[in-house]
Amino acid sequence: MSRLRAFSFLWVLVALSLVVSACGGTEDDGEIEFPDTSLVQLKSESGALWLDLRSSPQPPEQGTNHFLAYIVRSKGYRPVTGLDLEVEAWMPAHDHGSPSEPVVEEEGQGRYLIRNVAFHMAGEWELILRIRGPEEDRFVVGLQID
Amino acid sequence: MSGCRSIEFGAALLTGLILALLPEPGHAQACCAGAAAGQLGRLALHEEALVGLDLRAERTLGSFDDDGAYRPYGSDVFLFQQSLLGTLRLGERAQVGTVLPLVQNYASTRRESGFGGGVGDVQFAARYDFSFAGQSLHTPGLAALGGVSLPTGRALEETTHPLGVDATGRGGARAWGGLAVEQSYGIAFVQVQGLLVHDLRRSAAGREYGGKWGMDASLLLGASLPSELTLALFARHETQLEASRRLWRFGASAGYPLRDWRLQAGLFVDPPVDGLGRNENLRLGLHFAVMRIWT
Repeated sequence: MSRLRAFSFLWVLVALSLVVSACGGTEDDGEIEFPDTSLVQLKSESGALWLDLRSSPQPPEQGTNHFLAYIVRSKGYRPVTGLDLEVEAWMPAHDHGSPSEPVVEEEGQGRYLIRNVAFHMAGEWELILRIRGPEEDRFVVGLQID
Repeated sequence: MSGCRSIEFGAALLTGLILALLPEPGHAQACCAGAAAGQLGRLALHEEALVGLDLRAERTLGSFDDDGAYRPYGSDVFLFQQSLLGTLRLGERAQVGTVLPLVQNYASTRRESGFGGGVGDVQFAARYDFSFAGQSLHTPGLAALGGVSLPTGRALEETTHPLGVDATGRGGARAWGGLAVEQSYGIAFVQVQGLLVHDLRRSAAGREYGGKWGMDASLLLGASLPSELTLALFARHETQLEASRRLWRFGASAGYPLRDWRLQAGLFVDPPVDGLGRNENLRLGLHFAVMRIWT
């Protein structure tokens, strides 16, 4: 019995050292498709900009999501290009962020593709789009993730 | 590491731990009711030290909205935890303990799934008994409790899986302190415990997070049967004021002494009833602990 216990403890130590990382499966993104209708439209905090946001999937779900942001001036609805856009998923009631680092790609004509926004759990989230640089501003989009 | 290998190692880990700490048959001995089915890892009055293993499994059922409405989860979310426990008595009235957890998470949605884990947040706790339950009809047992958990686990913001399965810790230190009152009446006993909890400021992925205060209160009613089996029912309420979070938890626990060993098991549920929580996840869970006792 004592030899069995000694081997068991050794096996435990080996297993402990190995069970440390994440693994799993994710559906292949392929071509990201967005719907024809908006998920939400809202003004920026300063009121100077207007956002039309679509998501894939729409509505957004638990796990990985992608967004297409179309940003125009509130006056005249001219597309806003060349923005330094930073995106963050935030769960205000739990005071934590998300496992992902979203990637933003400008597609021209005021369109910005936001990849890899992860909502790791269900609940009430905020998608925060911060505009850096001389025209500092932000959009805060409330989302219910089921 | 592939998903299959992680699951295999997890199964091997559990098997090894159970074999390593399986108690040999022995004669039962008397044990204090509060320690037998109350706080895990607590020493009874005649005990000097313990070392143990606690195996835990939890399933997330859903979540409470900001308005307290219950929303069932459309995904499968499980947590498994194996904790090494150790407690040492310092004199007649004080005891200190530690918990070293190993955490695994599994989550599966319609589109994605994942399994991950690692070392969780290590805890250190202390207890000082000013008086003991059952020693006087009029004076209950009164104890001061305190502890801290250190951010040895991986914070959510430092993980990479979209379902957060590789998160194993809070990301910041937590400290708590409070009082426990306990009294026994024949075979029955009652425990009331209140803790003030503080999550210290933390930083993760380049962002600062403010500290938070919370409260944790619990009521436990139990009985120590002639067979030396101890059974208890408990209710617990956690609240975090700044974040508008609160949750009710109900459960049952049991303890049984085996000569130099103690077995302890329990189950709990956060009832999926509107109004019994706010901005929290609901879980259903069970645990089983084996502890070697030195007297």
